[in-house]
Amino acid sequence: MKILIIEDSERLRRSLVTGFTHLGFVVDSTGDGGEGLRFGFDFSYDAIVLDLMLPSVDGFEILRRLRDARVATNILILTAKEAYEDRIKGLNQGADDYLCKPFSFDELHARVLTLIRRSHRLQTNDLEFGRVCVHLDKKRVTVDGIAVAFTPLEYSIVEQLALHRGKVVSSDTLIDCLYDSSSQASKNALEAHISSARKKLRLLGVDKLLETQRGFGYVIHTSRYA
Amino acid sequence: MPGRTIQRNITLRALGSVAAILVAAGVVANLVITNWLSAEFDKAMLTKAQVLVTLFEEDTFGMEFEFADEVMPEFGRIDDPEYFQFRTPEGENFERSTQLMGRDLPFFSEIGADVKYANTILPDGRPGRLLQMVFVPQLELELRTAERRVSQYVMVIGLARERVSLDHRIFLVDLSLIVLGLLILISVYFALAQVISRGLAPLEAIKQEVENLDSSDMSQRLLIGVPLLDLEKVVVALNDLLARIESGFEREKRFSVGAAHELKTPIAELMNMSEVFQRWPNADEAPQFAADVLASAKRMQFIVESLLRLARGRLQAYNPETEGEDITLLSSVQKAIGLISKDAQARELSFDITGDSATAIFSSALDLDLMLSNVLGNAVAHADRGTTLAIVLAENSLSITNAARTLTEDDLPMLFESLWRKDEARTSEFHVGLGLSIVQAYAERLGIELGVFLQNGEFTITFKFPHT
Repeated sequence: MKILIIEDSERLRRSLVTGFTHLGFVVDSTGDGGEGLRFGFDFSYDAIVLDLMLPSVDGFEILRRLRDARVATNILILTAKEAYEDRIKGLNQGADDYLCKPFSFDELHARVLTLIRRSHRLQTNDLEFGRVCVHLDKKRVTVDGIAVAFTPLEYSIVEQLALHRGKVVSSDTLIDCLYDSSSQASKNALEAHISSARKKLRLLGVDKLLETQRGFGYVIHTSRYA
Repeated sequence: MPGRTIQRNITLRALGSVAAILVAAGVVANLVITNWLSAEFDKAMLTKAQVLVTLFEEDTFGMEFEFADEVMPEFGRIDDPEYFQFRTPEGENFERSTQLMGRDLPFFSEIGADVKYANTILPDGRPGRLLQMVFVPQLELELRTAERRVSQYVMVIGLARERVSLDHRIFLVDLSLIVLGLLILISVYFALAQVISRGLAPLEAIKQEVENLDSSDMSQRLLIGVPLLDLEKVVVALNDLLARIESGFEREKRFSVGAAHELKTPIAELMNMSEVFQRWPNADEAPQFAADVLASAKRMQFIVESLLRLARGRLQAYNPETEGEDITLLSSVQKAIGLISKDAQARELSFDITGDSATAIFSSALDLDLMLSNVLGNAVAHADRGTTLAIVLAENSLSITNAARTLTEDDLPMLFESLWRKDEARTSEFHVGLGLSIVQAYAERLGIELGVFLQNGEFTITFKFPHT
């Protein structure tokens, strides 16, 4: 999963990036509202963690402009402003959740996960495909309960395809979701990671989970696991 | 003791005034009526005496009084008789009424031309009224010569009658006046109560409205129901008070929200950094973690200290005897410049101090240092890079000017608002928007007049110190 953190406190931003990265998220971050708005338009994220009091463009303005442009990304407001008028304003302008500072990092993680799950119409953090289960919160894949030794990138590929189950995800979209905005990755590198992931699944007797739609991208077919 | 109310006060005072007026009027009326009744009584006696006098004649045989009880039966009756007695000027009896029975009426020995009246006790013991009159008896026709007229005899008539009936009438008049007065007072009391009650109804309505004001909604105001000029002024004044309270409350609310916001961010930083480091400890990241924790703690310390300074400035009274001392303004300014010289150098700012270098004031040196370091720190942080800060010293005054192209006239009223900053994002590490409100609080504490103005892209703050 890929998230964007827009928070002007450098120390807090750094801490959040560290935490979410350890949790397997791909994280873009900025302390400037204007830059955050550009990230929001240019890249696709599973969630945006947005502070309200930002330099150049404030959080409410970023929210308004993204929603006016029909950007449907989940947005969680993270701010010290806890007056109910601010909460109502934020939620009415299109925020999906509101968390007041100071907050627990675990709570922030749980709320981000909930937003992502909701946007993919999931009831729990576990996605099952026959013997295979993708545990979104624990960031691991199991086959009959046995954990598959995926690398973080391999796990992220499986996770993205699981979240978009039944839909073909293009290589470009996958690359966008798997790497932060400052990184450059090629399709060949992506294919290599997918190939490695398939091999590890085959060792546990799982074949044909990650399918290639030649010329279009990759998919996990849900019809096989209905 | 029952509580005092406006209605009670007005009613009692009005009744008191009415009672005083009624008493005065009653006394006057009583005097007038009594005097009139007495005068009529005396007049009736005089008329009767004059009638009796006409029956007294001097003829060739001497003085003669032709009277019969049947003509004036009041002198002959046994019950409630009246009395008369004719005497010489020396008091010798000439003729008396039957019922006197040989007794004499009281006699005024000083004989004069006027009729004398006096209250007396009648021979039968009743209270009475006495009249004594000097007269010249009629002369028989034949004796009316010039010589005879000159040497006419003079006689004295005394007339007496009861005065119980007069006293009774006077008593009835007094009683009537008293009863009337009481009735008027009672009527006035009830009428006043009604009128005042109705008159105070709008005040009662205002009281109800005030009681119904919702303390959680500071924007509520009183409505003027009845357009009475006096009450309209009260309602306007009350609404003005409510507006000032709302403004003060909003200001304090903004301050509380602002202060909470300022403190929440470093707390959030500390919590998250600790949580993340605890969960994923990394020796390589430890130095950065420690540095970040320290920086956040220092920021919190700075915010808390600033808030405490502001509170002290607002709440603690200045005691010149223990806090005041002679201060040379130049040395205070130089001290403050020393504290911010590094920041000034980093922004390529210079200082130009002019004016009277010997200017001295009597004030709190500590507070002055605090104010100057805040003002100069603010100026250094916001002045245009590479410019000069001009400081002018004069007798009992000091001004600091810096280039401030981004500042506008609309910003000036907000400068001293707690936690207000031109850049609302509040990203600055050691600027929380309390500096100038601290300056204002301490200026008020020390009796210093502050002024700010903007001219040609330059911002000036002035201090006017009190004369000592």
